[in-house]
Amino acid sequence: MATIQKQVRMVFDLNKCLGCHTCTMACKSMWTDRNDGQMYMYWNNVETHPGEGYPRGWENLGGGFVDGTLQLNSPLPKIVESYGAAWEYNYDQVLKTGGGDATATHVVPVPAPDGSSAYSSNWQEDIGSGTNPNDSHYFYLPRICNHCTNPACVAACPRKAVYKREEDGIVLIDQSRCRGYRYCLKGCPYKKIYWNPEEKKSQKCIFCYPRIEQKQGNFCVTQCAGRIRWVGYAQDTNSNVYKLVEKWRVGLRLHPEFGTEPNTFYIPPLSPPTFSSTGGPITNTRRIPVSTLANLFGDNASQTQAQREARIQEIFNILETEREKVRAGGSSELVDILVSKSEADRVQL
Amino acid sequence: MYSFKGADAMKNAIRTCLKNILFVAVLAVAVSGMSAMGGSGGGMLTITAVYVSGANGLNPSDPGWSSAAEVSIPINRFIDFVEGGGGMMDCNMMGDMLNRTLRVKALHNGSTMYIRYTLSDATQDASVGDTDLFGDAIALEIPYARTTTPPICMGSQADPVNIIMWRGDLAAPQNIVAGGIGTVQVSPDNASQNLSRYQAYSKGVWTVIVARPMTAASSNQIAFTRGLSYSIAFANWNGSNTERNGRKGFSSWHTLAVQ
Repeated sequence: MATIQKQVRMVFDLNKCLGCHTCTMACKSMWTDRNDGQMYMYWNNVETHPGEGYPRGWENLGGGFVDGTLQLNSPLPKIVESYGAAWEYNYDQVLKTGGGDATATHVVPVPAPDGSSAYSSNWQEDIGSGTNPNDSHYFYLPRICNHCTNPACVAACPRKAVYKREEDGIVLIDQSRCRGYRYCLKGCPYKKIYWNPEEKKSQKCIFCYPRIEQKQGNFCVTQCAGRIRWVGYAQDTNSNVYKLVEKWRVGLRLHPEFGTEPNTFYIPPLSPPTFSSTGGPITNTRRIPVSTLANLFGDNASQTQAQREARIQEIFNILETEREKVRAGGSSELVDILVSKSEADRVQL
Repeated sequence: MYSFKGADAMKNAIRTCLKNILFVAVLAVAVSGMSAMGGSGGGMLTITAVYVSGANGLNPSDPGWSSAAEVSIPINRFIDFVEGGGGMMDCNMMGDMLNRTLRVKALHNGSTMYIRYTLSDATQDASVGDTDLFGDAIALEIPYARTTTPPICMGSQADPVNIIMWRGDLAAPQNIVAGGIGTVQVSPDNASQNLSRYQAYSKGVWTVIVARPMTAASSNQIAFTRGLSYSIAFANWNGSNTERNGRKGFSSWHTLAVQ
């Protein structure tokens, strides 16, 4: 593998994600509205967990590495069934202005996802799990390509069309070299590479590299209404991504057992306690079970489930301790970083 | 059709390969009496590109085609990627046995070369419109050095190959340059992308005709010259079996003789 001089990283605070999808729309309007083949793609997506995500069931499709060996056993998810076909809304049938004929009573997607296997990128939005009001819970999980340190997509391509840049660790698919074999789709365990059937190429998040090269934050970072994201270089000790991940250690990897060493990190979401099953006094148990979070997040591929749960509890303790300091009138570097009022607080390039 | 899965499967596959080598040897003895034109034995076959003045070979009913003798090329080797073992197999291994036959005819009218394929295929795959769809494809491969027999998988740097690739979803066949595994490249000069095709699928059979001017448009094309012979090999991808890249069936080296 080539020597990576600097590695970009992104941190997401899941305590702040509103599920507003502004990040998704930013990326879509910047990169994936250029031809019909891209319309179904959301290089950045926000999915509700518990939930099957986008593409449907991606966590169990396969790919990544097992004991260091690349797995190419994943099926290729179909566009309509697994991602959801891109649709238009029938504004021209609903509106009276702009030449609309106002024949329909309400806005519907056209074509509408149909039938028992209908699906789309946010089909299970806000559904989550549990029973209301006792322990119902969900949280939002924004995802981009993780620009992994050990990318399965790079390993999968037999003609080296996928590569990891030495100057910043961004993983790209050379569109002039790609011949549409799609082994990279099979290799990526996060299913963050997409097939463009019109251009006949595989395509994915480019980490807004033209912006990064100008020291501008990714569009999904700068547009985020909840101010939940930070971007910077892993080795830059002055960056907030470094402080969050290496110093305060509140960031965890998504599915580290896939073996690709992703460079995106998530601060797990705290949640209020549950009611007892009889609607009685609140319990000591968090609504979002720590076990659910430990299924998703951990530091590295070798941690056990119990170790992951312990790390999540540790992070919760750190967050609550630092928050309490500020409530009591003191100060906390961690809380200051997590608040990050200005864009400069969230982008250190 | 076989596929390889993992190291143990590799050993089993090699044993199967060795059993099949014995089988092929027996078969070769059995068919050695058949003539090369129309035989399907294991030896090098010759396809003659007959000269018919004024022929329009892109028309499958052109009378010129009746002068062209059909050769059944065995597509008898299969290479795959290893699902649990890290990627594409080494194409220069023997590969597993396959039982496809590509029926080939060739015709020219002095200025345009026509190669005609007839291929049995239970499924028509002429679209890549979904993530899991791959197109049926047939390719021919000729070394730029004309009569050499370089490594059959994309040649080598010292002995590069010119590949003409038809695929069911493409508007025109691609002119490709390759100098070893992983190096195929559609030649970038527009002049060399001067191929056209006829394709039809009916009752489980593809009929494909690829046409190209005989003179080379650039150094990225081999010239077809009357009176000369060329090393030629063929590859076939069945789209519904997700075949693409190295996951394909292919033949050994044969000969194209241009009348």
